[in-house]
Amino acid sequence: MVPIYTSRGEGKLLTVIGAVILLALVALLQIDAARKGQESFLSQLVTTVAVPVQTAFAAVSSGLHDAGAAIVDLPHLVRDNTRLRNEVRTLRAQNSALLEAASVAPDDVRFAQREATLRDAIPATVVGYDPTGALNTITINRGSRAGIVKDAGVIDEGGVVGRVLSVTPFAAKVLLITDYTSSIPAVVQQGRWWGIVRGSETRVQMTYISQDAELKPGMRVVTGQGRVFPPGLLIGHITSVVRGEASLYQVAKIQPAAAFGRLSHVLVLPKPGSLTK
Amino acid sequence: MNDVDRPARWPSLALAAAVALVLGSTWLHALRFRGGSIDLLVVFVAWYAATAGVSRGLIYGALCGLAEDALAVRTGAAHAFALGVTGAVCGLGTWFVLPDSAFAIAGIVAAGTVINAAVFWATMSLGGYPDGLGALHFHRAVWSALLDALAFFVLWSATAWLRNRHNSR
Repeated sequence: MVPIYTSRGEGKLLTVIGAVILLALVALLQIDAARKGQESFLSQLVTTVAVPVQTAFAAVSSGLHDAGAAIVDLPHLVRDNTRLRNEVRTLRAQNSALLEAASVAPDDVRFAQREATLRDAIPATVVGYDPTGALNTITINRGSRAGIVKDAGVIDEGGVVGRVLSVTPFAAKVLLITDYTSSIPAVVQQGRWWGIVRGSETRVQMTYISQDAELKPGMRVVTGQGRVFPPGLLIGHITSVVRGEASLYQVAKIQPAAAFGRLSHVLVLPKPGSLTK
Repeated sequence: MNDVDRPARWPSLALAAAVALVLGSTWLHALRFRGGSIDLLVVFVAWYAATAGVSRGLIYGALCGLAEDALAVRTGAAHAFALGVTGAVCGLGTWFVLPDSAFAIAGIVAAGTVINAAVFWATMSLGGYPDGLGALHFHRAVWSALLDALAFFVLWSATAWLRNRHNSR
């Protein structure tokens, strides 16, 4: 039996084919932009529209979280307040002594640069995550209009968070250090052993550490000299060391200092070498 | 055709996709279980495709995937390709199941989640993303499939209740 095609059927078929061709064209533009490391127009448009909505959702959830935390912490507030005031007093005294010592130390230029870096940092709020949770990225509510540039380092109160991967006028996407494609030059503070800190989905690990290094759990790992982060920023603490007998290097598992489970406020650093005196 | 048999209209689909994108990038991020998470976009694409057919599922999946790629970073068009294929494959469900069977469509949603993850990571590895993550992502995809099926049941129950309430007035 010969099938009978109506003009309505042909119209539907043409519509489907046209839609597929259009989608393929847009997809090719997306792929081209991704290969060049840029944001496509569609990405910029969707991000610009989505960020205010994400900000509203994030504000609601952080408000609920803070309210709940305040209620839970209420009985301990007075005691914690006294303890923290004493701690601040002690730290202020230590800071003064260290500043005095640094001002006459041979390393005073690098120390002054790190102070200037933190002073010029841009505060931002985390408003979103990767939609599918497949990649370890976050969205912050500051973009090129606020002075954020690509490859700028991002930290929170605990330590290193990641680096800026792409920037739109009002938002930026940050690649977390827990992502597989993240790698940062790092140094174990006690002993000054160098290595590369790489992401491994849920944690980070430091690789290419010499077999001579005497690593112990608890040692601090900080950033080394690189193009994204100034040296000396805390990445985390070593939790365990894998020392294969037949391998050239050791691998240290690190507990990140940044609070990846509850990122809310971060600082975007100016790139090293971009500071003016 | 009654309300159960008729596929959803485009304005509803667009709103559903927008809500899924925003919720997926904000609140749903906190709801993870053994590495798996709820992906409402896959739920909506698979659900719609199972009631509307292959071609509509392909187009809706590709559109949702493009929006997801625009919000994500460095994925190129991987989400568009993965969700488009998911929509097309789940659209084959119209050959075998009726659109009023919640358990059958939940099964299609779960299968769609695994297919989406497989195609997405295969596309990413072709684009240079690190290899060897198949076992880890398959494990997560299985848990995500379970969570997505549960989310589908909740949404199905909510829409059935709203439909009954609307019809009873």
